[in-house]
Amino acid sequence: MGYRQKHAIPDLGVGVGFRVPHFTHVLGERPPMDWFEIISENFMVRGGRPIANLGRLLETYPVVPHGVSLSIGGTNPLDRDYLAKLKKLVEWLEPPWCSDHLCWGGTGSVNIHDLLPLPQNRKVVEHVADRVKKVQDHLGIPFALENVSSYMSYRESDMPEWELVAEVAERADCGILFDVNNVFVSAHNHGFDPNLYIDAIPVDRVVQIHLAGHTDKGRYILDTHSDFVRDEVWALYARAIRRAGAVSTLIEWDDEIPEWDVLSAEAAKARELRRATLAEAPGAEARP
Amino acid sequence: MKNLSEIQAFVARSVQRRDPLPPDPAAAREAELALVGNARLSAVEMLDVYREQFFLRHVGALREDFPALEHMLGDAGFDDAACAYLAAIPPRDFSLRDLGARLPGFLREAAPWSADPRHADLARFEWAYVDAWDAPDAPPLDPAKIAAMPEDGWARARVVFHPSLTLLDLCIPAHRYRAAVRAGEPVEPPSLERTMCAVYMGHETLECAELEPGAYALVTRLARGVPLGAACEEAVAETRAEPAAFEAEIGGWFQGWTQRGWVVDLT
Ligand SMILES: [Fe+2]
Repeated sequence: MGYRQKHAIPDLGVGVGFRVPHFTHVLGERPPMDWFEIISENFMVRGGRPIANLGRLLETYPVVPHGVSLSIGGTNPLDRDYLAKLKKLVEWLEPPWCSDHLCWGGTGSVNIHDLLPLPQNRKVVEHVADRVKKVQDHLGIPFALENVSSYMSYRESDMPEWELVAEVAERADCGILFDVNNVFVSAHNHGFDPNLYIDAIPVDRVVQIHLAGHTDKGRYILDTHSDFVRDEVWALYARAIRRAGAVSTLIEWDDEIPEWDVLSAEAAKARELRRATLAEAPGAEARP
Repeated sequence: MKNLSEIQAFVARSVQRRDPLPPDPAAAREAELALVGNARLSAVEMLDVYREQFFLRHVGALREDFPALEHMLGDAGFDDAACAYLAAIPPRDFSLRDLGARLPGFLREAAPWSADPRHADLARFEWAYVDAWDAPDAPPLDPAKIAAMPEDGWARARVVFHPSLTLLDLCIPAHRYRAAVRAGEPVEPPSLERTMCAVYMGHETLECAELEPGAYALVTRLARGVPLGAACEEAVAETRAEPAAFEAEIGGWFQGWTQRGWVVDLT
């Protein structure tokens, strides 16, 4: 039995991130949207407006928390205070899963607040998988790791990135948040074929897909979440959906955030592509 | 470099350097020990992508939280202060929300900013807004509590204030300056002028109220848990007010605080 089936991971449809410029519109008008993703840390606070806003969001929409600061690949001990706050949030939201990134974000002496890639090797797989198991035990709900965009490669890497993702997920028995734009960005920056990545991911573990826009900096591509999803990324998305079936999908737009209608239209585009792709490949939907 | 913690310590150290790494031959050599360049970027250029992002992200977050301070220091001046702060007190908390918590103290201690008390006070004022935004909630005072208070109970009563309330005794009218900056109005940095005020979460928005010296002297004592009777005596002594005149003001002040939702309990 696949991971999604075993944990009864639902297909939430296509959603968007819950971001400040849209708070008033979303909470006031309650526009149609399949689901929302929140940045966990923004709501791991004492109270006030953030918590009030999230409470109102929950009245209408499914909400899934997505973290950026777990630093699962770090070498300093997992932050107990962080995990306690995350658990409290998860207990309140009761989401079908929660997620963070396959990366590291700091050392004992500094938090870089970035999603730094990890060396791709067997030792790192073991290191990360052990920590994922602790996090999953602590949270008590399905937990997924997202592949990150990367701009550097380590001397200590001896396997492709997709192997690191797959091995960690298998060994830790966790889910994958598959960011198709990140695949494109890393493939461009490191010069590999993104299709190999898409085809190598253990699709039964993919609980969610991210789509986003990026910025071409000339010599490399930066994952900025500041634009429309590019055509090449839509094509990779269709390829991923063909393999994975109906997986919850989310449009990330975090910088130069457009009007609600523009964001909503981008979600509608994903919804339509997903529908059309699954209609062409009916076998995919049945796959767990 | 083989060991994961050694590699991470190296990367963490490198991304915190303010100047671009590629022009530094030593940095380029060191980067080669941990990273492998490709046709697009050399090892040190890869590292520099993260270094650049480190400053964009953290200085950007500080800019968002301290708009009036940025206005006072100017673009480049704010960059200098923010970078010096990040170097002296590297970010430790998991959330960027807490990044600026120690900036007021830094500006008070560190040259050249320490020479002008307006810097630290403006930062202290702006930080109160960050703190008020996600302060725990508390329902307003139940009017029945006031009704139930016996006449002779007031002197021993303690007032509990809303957790979002920060009381500030500043050397500048920071509230007027920040409001003008945020409204995009042309405004000069304020001159020294002692200003007492309170920042708090209003009904839906963050608010600031200026306080007269007597009210400030009283409310700060009450907020420290001093019972009403003793707090009044101390406030009268400090402000050298005429006791009867001071006492005549208290009812009005208290009503104002309650209306703004500052008072959440009487014990
Ligand atoms: Fe993502």
